[in-house]
Amino acid sequence: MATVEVRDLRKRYQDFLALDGVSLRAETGQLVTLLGPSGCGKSTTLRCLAGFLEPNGGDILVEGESILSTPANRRGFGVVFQNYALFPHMTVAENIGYGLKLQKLPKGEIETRVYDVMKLVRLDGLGDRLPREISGGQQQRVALARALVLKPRLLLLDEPLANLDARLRDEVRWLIRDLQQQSGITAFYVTHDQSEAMAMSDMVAVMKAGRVAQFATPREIYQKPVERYVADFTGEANFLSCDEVAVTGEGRYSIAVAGTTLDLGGVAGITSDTPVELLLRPEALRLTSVDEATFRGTVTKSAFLGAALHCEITLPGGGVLKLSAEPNANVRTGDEVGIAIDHSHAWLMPEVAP
Amino acid sequence: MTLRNPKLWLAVPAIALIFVFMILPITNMIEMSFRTPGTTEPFGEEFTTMHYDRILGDGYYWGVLFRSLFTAGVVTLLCLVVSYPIAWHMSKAKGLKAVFLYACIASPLMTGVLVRNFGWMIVAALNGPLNDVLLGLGIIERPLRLLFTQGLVILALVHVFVPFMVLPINNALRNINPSLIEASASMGANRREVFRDIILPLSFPGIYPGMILVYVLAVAAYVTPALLGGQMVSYMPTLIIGELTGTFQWPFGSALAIVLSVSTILVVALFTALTAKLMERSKA
Amino acid sequence: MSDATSTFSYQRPVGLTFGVLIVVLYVFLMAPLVMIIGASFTESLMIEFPPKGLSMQWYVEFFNRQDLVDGLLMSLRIGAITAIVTTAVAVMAAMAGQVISGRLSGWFQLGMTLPLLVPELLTAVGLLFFLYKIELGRTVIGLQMGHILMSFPYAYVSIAAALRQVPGSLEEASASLGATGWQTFRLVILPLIMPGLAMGAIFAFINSFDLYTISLLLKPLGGNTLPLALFDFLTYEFKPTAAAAATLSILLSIGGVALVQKLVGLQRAF
Repeated sequence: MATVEVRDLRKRYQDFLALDGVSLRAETGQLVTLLGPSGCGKSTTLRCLAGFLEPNGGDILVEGESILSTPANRRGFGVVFQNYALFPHMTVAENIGYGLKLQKLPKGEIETRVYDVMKLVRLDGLGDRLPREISGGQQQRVALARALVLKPRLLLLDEPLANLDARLRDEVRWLIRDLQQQSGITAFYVTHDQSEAMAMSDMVAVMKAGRVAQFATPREIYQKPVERYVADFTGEANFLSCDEVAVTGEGRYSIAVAGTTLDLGGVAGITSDTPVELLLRPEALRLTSVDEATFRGTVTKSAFLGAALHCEITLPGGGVLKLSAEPNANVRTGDEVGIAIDHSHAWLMPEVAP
Repeated sequence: MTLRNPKLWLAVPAIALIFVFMILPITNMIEMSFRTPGTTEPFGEEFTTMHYDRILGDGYYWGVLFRSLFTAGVVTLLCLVVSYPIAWHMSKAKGLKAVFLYACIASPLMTGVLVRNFGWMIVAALNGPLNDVLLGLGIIERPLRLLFTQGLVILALVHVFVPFMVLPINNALRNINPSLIEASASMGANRREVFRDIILPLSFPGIYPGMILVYVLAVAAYVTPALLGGQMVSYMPTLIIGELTGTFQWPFGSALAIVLSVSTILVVALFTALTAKLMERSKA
Repeated sequence: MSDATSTFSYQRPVGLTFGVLIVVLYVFLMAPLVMIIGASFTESLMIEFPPKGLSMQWYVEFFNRQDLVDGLLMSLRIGAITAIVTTAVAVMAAMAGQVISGRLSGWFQLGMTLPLLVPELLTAVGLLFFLYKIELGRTVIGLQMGHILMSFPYAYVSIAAALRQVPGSLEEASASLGATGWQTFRLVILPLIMPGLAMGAIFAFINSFDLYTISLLLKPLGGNTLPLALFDFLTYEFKPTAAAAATLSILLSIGGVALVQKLVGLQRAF
């Protein structure tokens, strides 16, 4: 078990800067997610951690000691790959026991440990099958078992759920989180799926073009993003541009937006010159009568989604707000409606973090 | 499928070509091997097993058969040893470099066996470059007589068949998912262990057809031993062609050819049986 | 994404030792060809490498030798006919092969490549008897049939591969626009498989040009192909003329390789 610190990591390919100073920290037993679109550097970071890539600069410290000079096969990290990377010519049990065999452990011990971990990931009785003879979900669990059986100091997961269908994804997601928490292994988890990141992580690093845009808890990332990019990537979001910003206190601002004035919290350090945007998550918005409303607007789209009624409302200034209304709400396209906002869920942030 | 699909008729010329000019003649050869020797014709009218009795009862033919089978085995193994690094290197290449390497494999492949063997006659000449290099390196003191030796026949045969081995192994290596190598490394395997446990078994689907093809072709290779082997050592193919074109003993030549074919098939079957489990597991 | 550009250290060559080994192996592969080409330009009367001086005299000598030139012409003629016939037969067979499905398809592929898989020696011996029986022994037609048979798989494999790249929907689309089967073939399929077809023809031609064993057993009275003439020449005379003849043959194959690269790319062809 270990603390892991990534310090100012840099990686350059011939004509492309893949990592431009990535810094992260994982405490013992934490699961840290690297979240971002393809090409943002999340996989590159993970591959540097695993030892498959050599960074051009920066350092990776485990328990305070640099591991950069340690080759991949002596780092003692478990890696779970997006395509599972199961050895097609080995049975499930041989796949799981491969690392133990390399350690030249006695046959009996290997068998016991393989048996135990197979039970843990509910693969009992599949030991003699070849990877191609089992389902995708089972293959994913073999990949997980294969990494866990070596009791790694650090577990690295590269989009482990991307090749699973939605139903299985949910199941395996909880299995991974449970096992990780039970065993107290520090883990890095790469994904481009924000809901996965939210649900599983202790800490999330939202990555953007080779840098960490924000490194914080899932709650903070979601509710207090440092810039529009982060808010956009972590869930449904409405943005309104503000006309005037006045600082009223430490991280408190008074803004003029869409014809009203609001007093709310935001990213510290915003000045009246900063181009800012108001973030309103759909759950911060509520349809109300026109008199009580903060904003007034016209319904331009409404769609019944079962659990909710999805509405898009265009404000007089041209801004559009998306929100979820009660499924039986009597809202039709063209209606004039009022919108109330929950100030605690509104957040002021710069368009781009400085 | 429906036999009524009119497109199927298009296969008739090809099937006729292969049936009439290959399957029929080879079947014919079996019959020929049981004919009595002819006096005015190359074969007689009666049937007999005397040719097989003669071959199987004579240690000389056993010796030649064994030499042919054994030499082909040596050629196959050497081919594998030479081809594997080339295939590995090739499988990593991209772009222009890959084109160049493919050209280096394809050019010999598309050059006739006779021409390539002739090249080895130049290389191996008494005052040729190979002797020059060996003398220069101080490995030998006097030029070696390399021409018309078994060693040169083997070397030239390896050269002839390397492309047949390189191409399937290259394809198999290209099909190995690179993350398997990373996975095994992350589980603690060093370079040697990765090769032994992952790359080698997973390239077997290329090694297997390469080895079979090279063995079958090497057993029956005629030109190379005829040109580079000299008069001293006989191989089955030189013996067979000698019987057919020199002494015109068609039935006996056929019997030799069939003994050679059956032995080859037995060797291939043995190899297949020994590697069946590996093949079953490693195929994609 | 980043996986495509990444390099894991195990995958890179092992360093100097491996580099030297690879160079040695490629030298081994190319040496005989280079030696021949070099030796063909020598001024001396011996076949040797490195050549002494630089001269074209052995090429002149080659074209003055009636037996070798006759061999060359015969090889070119047989090769050309082989290329045309095998290509035509292979196109038809490959189109038929497309509508065969399931297990039978595998057997069909195997059957079509049989001449490649069975040693040339066996086929040659069998054909020798067979042609004698049907009274084509020692005739040019018999030899031609042997070459067509032995070269057919090369044409078939190339053309079948090209045909597999053509989506079946094109044929249906063409038919829905009112084209007859023949029109679809000529206007849609043929242009699309042209590179593969040309490659098949090249392979068939070069294979025929290089055949030795089958030509030896089936050669017509008084006629020699170039490899046969070259073998005799090497056995009895061993002069640099042989290197000149062999160089022409090598140039032909290098030209073939270059054409194949241009037509479909070597990586796809092999």
